[in-house]
Amino acid sequence: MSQILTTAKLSLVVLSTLAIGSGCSVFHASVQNEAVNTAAEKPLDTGYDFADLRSLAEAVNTELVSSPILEKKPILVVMGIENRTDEHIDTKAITDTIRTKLINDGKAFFINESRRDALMKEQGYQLVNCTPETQTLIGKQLGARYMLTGSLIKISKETPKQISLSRKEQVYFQLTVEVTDLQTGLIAWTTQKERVRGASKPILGW
Amino acid sequence: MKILELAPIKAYSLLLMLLVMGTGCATTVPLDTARRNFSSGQLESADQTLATLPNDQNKVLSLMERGMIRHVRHDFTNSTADWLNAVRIEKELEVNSITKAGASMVVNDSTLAFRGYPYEQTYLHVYLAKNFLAMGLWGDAGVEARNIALQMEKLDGFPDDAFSHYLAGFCLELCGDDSNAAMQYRQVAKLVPEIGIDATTGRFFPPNAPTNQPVLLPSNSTELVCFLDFDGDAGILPYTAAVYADGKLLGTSRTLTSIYQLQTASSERMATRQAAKSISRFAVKGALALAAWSRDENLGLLTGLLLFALEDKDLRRWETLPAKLAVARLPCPSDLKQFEVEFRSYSGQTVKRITVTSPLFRKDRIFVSLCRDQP
Repeated sequence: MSQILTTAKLSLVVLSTLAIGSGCSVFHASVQNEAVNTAAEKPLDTGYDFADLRSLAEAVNTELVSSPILEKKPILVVMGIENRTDEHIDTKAITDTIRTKLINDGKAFFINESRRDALMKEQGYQLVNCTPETQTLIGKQLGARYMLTGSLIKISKETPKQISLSRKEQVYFQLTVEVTDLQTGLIAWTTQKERVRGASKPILGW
Repeated sequence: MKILELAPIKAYSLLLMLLVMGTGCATTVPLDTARRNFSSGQLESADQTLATLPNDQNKVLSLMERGMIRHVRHDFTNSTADWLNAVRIEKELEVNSITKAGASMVVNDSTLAFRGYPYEQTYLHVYLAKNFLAMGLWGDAGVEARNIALQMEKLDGFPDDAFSHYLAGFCLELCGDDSNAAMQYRQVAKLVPEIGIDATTGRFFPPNAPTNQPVLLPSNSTELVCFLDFDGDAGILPYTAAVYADGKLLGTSRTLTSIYQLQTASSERMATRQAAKSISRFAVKGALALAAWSRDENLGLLTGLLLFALEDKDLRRWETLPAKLAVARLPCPSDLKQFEVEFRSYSGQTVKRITVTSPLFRKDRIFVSLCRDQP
């Protein structure tokens, strides 16, 4: 018993010295000072993350920018990307990224659909409270020619129950974006972008 | 000499005590107090009792209970945060901890982190879906519906339940995914054929109506879908609920699931596995006690007494779940602002009457609401 205790004490001292001396990150928090390169960062798991948001939105933008529907700098309205996955994903962030790029590149105009209520509230206020010279004119809003919509789906597979020290998982995301002509009702442009990621999860831990 | 002989006994006893303490024996006093307060209708006290949650093996269970307390208080935002946290932690527990597993072989199964039976894991998603419905977040409710469907595919012999399928189907229906909604409704029809559900529309057949044709509503009509939790007040568990609007009876609810039956069936499923583990644990404890006894009889006796005194069945479960879950899907006035729910016993006696003004959201032609006969 005393031998076991002595060995245990010695091991504890050696381990502690090694850990403290090596500046082991297990024992202290660290923060990266330089900006994170979202393209270069390795994913931490198979879930949807910021790298997916960037890559999917950029891929859609690259195609949309070169499509004929944007030749005349049309007016678009975003009606949302439907989240058909089992994760709570902010799909509005995808359309916000697409919209920001197109506006900043001067490729399209966008109706601020999500602020319509606030817009009308402000116009109503101005009509009652502001001087005629400074009031915004009612009924002068522009109509959109195209509507941007889409959907995001997810398919995931896991290795079945078996005797193994780890479990593999594969997750596939597919983003479909379409631009619909509000006049004719036809889909004027569409694209699909995919992302697959695999991971191995341990079944035993400390 | 006697002091020197006692030294190894002290060291051994200290080691044993450290082992017991190190396994993180958690106190369940706050949980028990919160549950008592919840059952007696003191929701604010129950919430305050669990204001701070310890980071122990009952974290998931504590989040489940607190989430339910906040759900019943209509604090849907914080309730959702608790349950999303519980889902996240439960997922991390898929990795089996060697230390915890080892400790459970020496102490008891309560040292293992609580993950819940499959039905409890499913009901985390069921109640998350209910929270999102209560907040009018149909898309997020759809996400939880897909999680419910995924959970139901991994039952592995554990009991299936009709309410989860119905709620999943309804959320998918609200998202416009009619084909997957119908699939869930078909499961409900298979599990509880006596309820009389039309798998195409998710509506219930009126009494004496033909069951070979879909239940359709006139084009301008609206319907109310109210999810009801039957808890029982003053010891009387409701059998059904009648829904009124503007003094007129709209119809009655259909009970889809009994949590007690789910719990019993789940325990039976686990019984063999638990019995085998108990036998193994007895063997390990016996071996440890024998090893100590071989050095010193008193030490062996002490070790054996301590180890076998710690033997205890793991009875942890999500206790604030209601006794039964039902749904009322009924035609209603298009300007519905509130409605009354009359909980009735099996003999038709009124147990409780509640006026519901919120949550009450409308999507297209459907009003969605929740109600519980909380004391």
